[in-house]
Amino acid sequence: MDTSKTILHNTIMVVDDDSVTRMTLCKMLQGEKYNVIEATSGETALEQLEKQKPDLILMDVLMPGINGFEACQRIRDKYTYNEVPVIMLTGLNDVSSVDDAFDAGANDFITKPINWPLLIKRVRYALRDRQIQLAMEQNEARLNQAQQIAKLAYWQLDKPTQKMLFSDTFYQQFPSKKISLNSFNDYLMLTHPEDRTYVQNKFTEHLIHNKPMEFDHRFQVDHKTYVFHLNIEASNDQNGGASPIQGIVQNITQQRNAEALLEFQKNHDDITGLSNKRHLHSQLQEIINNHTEDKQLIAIMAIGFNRFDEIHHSIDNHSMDILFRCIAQRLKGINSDNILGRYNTDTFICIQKNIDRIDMIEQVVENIQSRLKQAFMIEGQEIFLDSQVGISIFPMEDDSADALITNSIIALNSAKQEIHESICFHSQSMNTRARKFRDIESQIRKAIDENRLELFYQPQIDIHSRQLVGAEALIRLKLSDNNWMSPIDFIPVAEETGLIIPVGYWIIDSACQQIKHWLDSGMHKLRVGINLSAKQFGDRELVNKIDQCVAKYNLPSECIDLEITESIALQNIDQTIDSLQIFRQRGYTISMDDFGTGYSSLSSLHLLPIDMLKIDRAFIKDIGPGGENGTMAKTIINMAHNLGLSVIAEGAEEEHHITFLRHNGCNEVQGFYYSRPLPAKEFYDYYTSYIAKTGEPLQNENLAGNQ
Amino acid sequence: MAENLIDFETTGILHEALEDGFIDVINEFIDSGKEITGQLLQIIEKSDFDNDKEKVRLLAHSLKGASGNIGAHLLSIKCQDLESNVHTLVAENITELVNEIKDIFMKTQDEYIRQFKMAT
Repeated sequence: MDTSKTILHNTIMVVDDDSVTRMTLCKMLQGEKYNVIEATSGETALEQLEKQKPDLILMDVLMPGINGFEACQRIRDKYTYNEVPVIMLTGLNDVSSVDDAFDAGANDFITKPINWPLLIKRVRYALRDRQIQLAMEQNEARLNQAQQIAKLAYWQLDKPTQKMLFSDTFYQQFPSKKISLNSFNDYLMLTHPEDRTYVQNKFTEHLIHNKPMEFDHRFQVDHKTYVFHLNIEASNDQNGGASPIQGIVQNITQQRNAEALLEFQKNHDDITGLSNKRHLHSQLQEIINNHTEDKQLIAIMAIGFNRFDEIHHSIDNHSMDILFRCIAQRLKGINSDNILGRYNTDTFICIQKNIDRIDMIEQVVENIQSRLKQAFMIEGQEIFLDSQVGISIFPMEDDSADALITNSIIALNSAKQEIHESICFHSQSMNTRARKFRDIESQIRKAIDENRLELFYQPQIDIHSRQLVGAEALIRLKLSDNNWMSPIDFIPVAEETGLIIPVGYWIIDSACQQIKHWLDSGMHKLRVGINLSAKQFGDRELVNKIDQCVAKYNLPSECIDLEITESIALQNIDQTIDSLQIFRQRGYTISMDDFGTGYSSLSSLHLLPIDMLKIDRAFIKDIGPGGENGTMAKTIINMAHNLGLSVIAEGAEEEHHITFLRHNGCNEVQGFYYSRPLPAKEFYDYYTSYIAKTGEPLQNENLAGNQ
Repeated sequence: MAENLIDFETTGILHEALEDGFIDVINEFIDSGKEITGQLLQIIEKSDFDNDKEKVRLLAHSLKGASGNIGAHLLSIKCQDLESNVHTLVAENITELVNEIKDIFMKTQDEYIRQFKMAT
């Protein structure tokens, strides 16, 4: 820096009570082109200083009034060494004055008698030094300002002590003035808990490899989260690894927030804040790509409105925007497990994941429609919307997001065209199925309310003694037109909707009531098989409910045979064993229904505390007159006997079935050969006529029978 | 004598640096010197000037500074002597030293006038 010009015309204050020295100094300095201010005492100097700040002060020590030291001290109270440098004029032999001068805040000293050529040089150097120092201060201030603007700070970490220091700009990032970090541990403590290990690992990695590094992490101060970009410099360590680690840290929170905002705006509708069309497609595609749970469905529901144009014409654009925001708000309240988007002006999309059953979709749609049905108060005006929903389903229809969304829009358009349909599936089969499902569900509910459920009983015959030993209770649903609905149709719907629970308990109660009635009518103790569904089997109240029914009708427990399927039994084998043991302790018998169609392993079958296997009809119906196709039945019978279990064959329709089963040691049979399932009254008649033909059954015999 | 009285190297530097301003400085020195020596003489004329010794020291210090800075070498030394010892010297010695300072000042003044052709 060329200071030769800038130091010219600088102003120097000469403070000396001695007029000769003062005049000499003034003339000498003026001869060097400096501006000179004179002061005859310390007091005058301080007064002058208030009016004009000189670039340098030459101050005598010994003066009347306040001396040079005190005057210098007072100057230092207001001005730094660089703002107003002071050169003290001290006696040649007065060493203590030199110390006092520096203690008082003098920048330099000159001894008397004055060496004039030296004085001029000292003055010049003092001014140049001041100029440089001021420039440095200015640069530092600029750098500081730049760092402040860039939110950039310097840090240093001493490896042995783990002490850490930061430049002031680091602390300026936080509104709180209380933050003070002294160690790496302090830094980690304020690092976001989820990022601490990451930051620690990065520093460890740097210590091992001494590679420059930069990474982002979150920082938390006073419950506010910041994003920092931390840079670690590779150290050119000539100090045996003891040199400190250093780098810069930049607060990039605003940048990140701005990026996030930009990203949000890019992907979201600016009125509702929901995903826009482009983002919806990518979100759905991502869900599809990550879809691993085969049994779960994803529903894409396009939501539109009837007569929307009319509404649009009746309110202004501002009110329309409010309406759209209100619609979005209501949709957001459906659940947290979905993705919502605004597909176009008046079409919203709801992507619902993790759906186990089709009827769950309908529940979501009902929820959506009921929320949107309520009046919207927009700028004092009440607005009612009539919503329609078009649905497409993954993986049933397609595996591309584009196709699925388009399908839902097509379905929505179909729903809009149908006067009475507010829901429409894209798939016609889904539509049919959904309608049928809704219809059956409605029939079940009505049947429960209107007492149109009925139990039929199919006799079970001891194949060797030919005695009627039991019956299986089978549910039937009488339709309002007096026709019967097949259990094949309504049991799955009851299972899916959860109606199987009330239906199941109705069966238990009705069966128990019927047994009581029969016993009271003189019928001998029959074992009645009651089917338990998976949902019912998982109900903790099941045992109590059965116990209550048995107690209510004062029944012998051996009249109750609980039938479970292989799939129920194997869902949770340990829990199943516990439950079955409780049932058996009560005296109920346990049958495994539809045996052979599931996937029981011999080892698990061996563990289950059951009494009887019911061979599925599939293994019986194809047995020929010569015993053809009877291998499976024969094997199951042998296996069951080896496990100490009794065997009953279902679906015995022909005489040769009975012959084969008897010949191969099957214990009991149930099927059309003896009787179809019968209403209770007809079963009683059947029983009466059967007894008449075959004689009295054995009393007090183990009704489950033994091989 | 003149060489001991005045440091011509210093006066030369000052003359060269201050040019005509140097004459002003010398005139100021003469005026100031006359006043200081006059005050010193007034003090020592008193019968008892023990209480004025500090004033003597400050006057000696002032004249020492002025003379030393403009090259009045011998005067500066004598003033330094007085400034340093005034509190320990007896009145007689102080009077003697003040008179000596007055004489040296007069000679120094004459020498400056002679050297730099100043009008008196």
